[in-house]
Amino acid sequence: MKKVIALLLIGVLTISIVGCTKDKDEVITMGFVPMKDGDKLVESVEPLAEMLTKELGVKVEGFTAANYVGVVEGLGSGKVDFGLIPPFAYVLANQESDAEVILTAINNKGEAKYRSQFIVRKDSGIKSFEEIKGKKLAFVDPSSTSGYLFPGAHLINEGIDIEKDIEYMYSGGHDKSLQLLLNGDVDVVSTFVDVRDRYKEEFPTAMEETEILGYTEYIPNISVTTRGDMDKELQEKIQAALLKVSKSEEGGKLLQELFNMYGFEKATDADYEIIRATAKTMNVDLKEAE
Amino acid sequence: MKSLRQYMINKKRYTLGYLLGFILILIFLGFKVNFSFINLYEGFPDMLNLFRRMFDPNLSYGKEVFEKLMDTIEIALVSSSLGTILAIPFSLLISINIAPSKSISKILTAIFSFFRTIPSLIWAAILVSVFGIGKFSGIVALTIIAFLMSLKLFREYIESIRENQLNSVRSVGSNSVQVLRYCVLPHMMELSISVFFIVLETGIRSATILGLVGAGGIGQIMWRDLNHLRYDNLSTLILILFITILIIDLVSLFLRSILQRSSIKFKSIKSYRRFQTLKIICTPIALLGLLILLFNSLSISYDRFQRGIKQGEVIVKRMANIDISYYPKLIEGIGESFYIAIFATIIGSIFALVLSYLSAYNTAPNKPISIISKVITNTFRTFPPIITAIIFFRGIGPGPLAGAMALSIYTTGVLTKMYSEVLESAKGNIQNSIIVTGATNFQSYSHGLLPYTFPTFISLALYRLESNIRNSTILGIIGAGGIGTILSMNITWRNWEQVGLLLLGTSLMIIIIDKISDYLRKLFS
Repeated sequence: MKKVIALLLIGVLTISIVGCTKDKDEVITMGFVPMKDGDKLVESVEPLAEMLTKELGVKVEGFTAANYVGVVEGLGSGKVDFGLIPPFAYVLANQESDAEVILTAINNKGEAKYRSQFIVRKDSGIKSFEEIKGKKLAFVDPSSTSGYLFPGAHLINEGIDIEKDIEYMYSGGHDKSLQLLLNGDVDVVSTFVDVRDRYKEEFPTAMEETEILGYTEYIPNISVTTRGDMDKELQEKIQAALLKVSKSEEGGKLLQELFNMYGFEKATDADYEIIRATAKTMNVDLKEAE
Repeated sequence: MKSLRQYMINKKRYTLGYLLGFILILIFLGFKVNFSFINLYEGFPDMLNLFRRMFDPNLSYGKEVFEKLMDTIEIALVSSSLGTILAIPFSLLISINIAPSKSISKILTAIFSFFRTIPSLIWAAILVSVFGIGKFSGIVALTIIAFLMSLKLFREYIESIRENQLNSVRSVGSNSVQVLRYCVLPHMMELSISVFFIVLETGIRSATILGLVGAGGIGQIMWRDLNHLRYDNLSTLILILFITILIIDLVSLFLRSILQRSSIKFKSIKSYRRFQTLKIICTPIALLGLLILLFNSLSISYDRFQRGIKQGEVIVKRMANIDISYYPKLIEGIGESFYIAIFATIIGSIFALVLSYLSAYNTAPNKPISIISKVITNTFRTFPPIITAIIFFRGIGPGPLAGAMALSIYTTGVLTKMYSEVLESAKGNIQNSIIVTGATNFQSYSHGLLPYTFPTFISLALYRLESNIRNSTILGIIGAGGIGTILSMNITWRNWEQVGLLLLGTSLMIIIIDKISDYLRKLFS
């Protein structure tokens, strides 16, 4: 047993040596959470991190995650310095740890906002929101801004009680919503604009078989959010660096090609107030235990 | 002739050599997952903060959870029964010692072990893309997992039947059907109950993950709560899950003990024969009835099913047409997953060795310590790795270390449970024979029980390695390293060509590790 104890001790020691030798340089950590309703599959934020490193003079390390929870928690504990995160994730981060939005992205239409659409099958005969009472509807998932929050609130504003007037389910993805609609499993789906175009390869008949019933309110675009305890100076530096990169010829091209972003625009918390209001309409309880 | 002194020196050298090698591997892995004590230490308060937020379960939320839990149990029950029943005939086909044709057995084994490497989350994600969301996809995904799992367990059992036992049945002139009837099947009926419960527990655990891709059940609300950062609700869910699994454990223990004890008394040979013929007629009918009942509960129209199959065909065809040019991403991803899994297995094993000593009732210094460590390890086991990963992510930031630590904790929990059961079932005289020489309780463990059960421990740890590699594929979803990030994103984007390559790469890696661990297992036993 001495052996085992010795082994344990030595193991712990060696690991601690490994741990301690890691030099602690000043590093800025950037998280990227692509929006599911974004236009481009983003796999690597390396090029952007490199350009920011050059601009800021401090090493910027980027990473990608498919889900925002980790990044929001990282912003809260200071392990992530700033992130490009979906609007709903910003609202959560702001509430949890006073994280601040500094920028929002501009899309290919030159707007800092987007919206989602309701689509129905042409043969369904549904022509107005009034007629979807008693029908089946698919949302994307309960944390999706464009696939649940805004469409849901839109229906409520149209005078439809989602719990009573319709039968709804969550599909788990905009693509899956479209598929459900085409297969006749549901009568109405709410997706980003325009899901039929993105997945036309797999669902070539989508355009001719379906039509748009209506659009939701505009939703603010992806946010650039910094952690709450960041000093103003660094915050402004990051903001300026991102703006500068996006305006430079090389950087602008990179943003377009990698992220399909056509620049950034300054943003404040007020721009995202609509998300909070919508969440309230939808009765999404954002209250924390603390 | 070697002197005792020489022997002892040699032994010391070997031990030192092994230790050195082991340490080198550990250092290397530590580097690979960016291990850092400073980071862990500094992040501790942040982790504690998140953990504390979980420690306020919202019990009023129980009712909604309960409904979903029933859904989950239904999904798990249906899929476990379907999977186990379907696995029985296939296991007869693929077990090498009774298979009708060796080549068919080999081909089928290869196909099934390929499928077995695909994580349940990926099955569900693909099936959801085919059949749409809801229970049906969840049931099909879990049935596939249950089928493959019980197939492996059955096969290992059948292949462990000694050749002379089979031969003795053959030698009295029985054909292969009779061999099955009298030599193989009687044991399998008993085994299938315990296999069913093992599969059921895995099913309920997996169901929590499946919700991520919209495959119904309790996982769906769990992901909603997680995405809304409602940790109070989340902990309620985990608590309920914990109790459910505990109940399943108890029911399975109870049923098995009843089955072992019960026997029917017959008055005459005639009544016994009547009972036997009745059994032969009734069992297949009952099984068939059960199957029909199960298929009925799937509630999907034939029309809808066919449409699903057609879409599935498109997906499978595109996946088969793999996009080779995507390989740099693959190498990067599986490399990281690989290091995470190995690191977690080694660290988990070290902790499990200590904790099992403390928690097995026959080795623990005293009862309270045993109970306390049992509670600790069961808690470790209940937290889904992805939740633990988020806790670590908060403390130490992005990167593979968060995933590696989360999996280490899960491995510690599972391995401690398994190994302490091995320790507890070891015969008392192993320990006693050493205690009579005047050794302490600890010495009786280190010189008696430990060497005796160590091969089993190694084998258990290697099984954990295989499952850790599968688990590490899901950690990437939250940014905790590994292949999961690109895998899940490509599935969302329906880039099936890339998904095909990623799955193929992951499968190859798992199969290679399976082979190596098979080899190591034989070496140690």
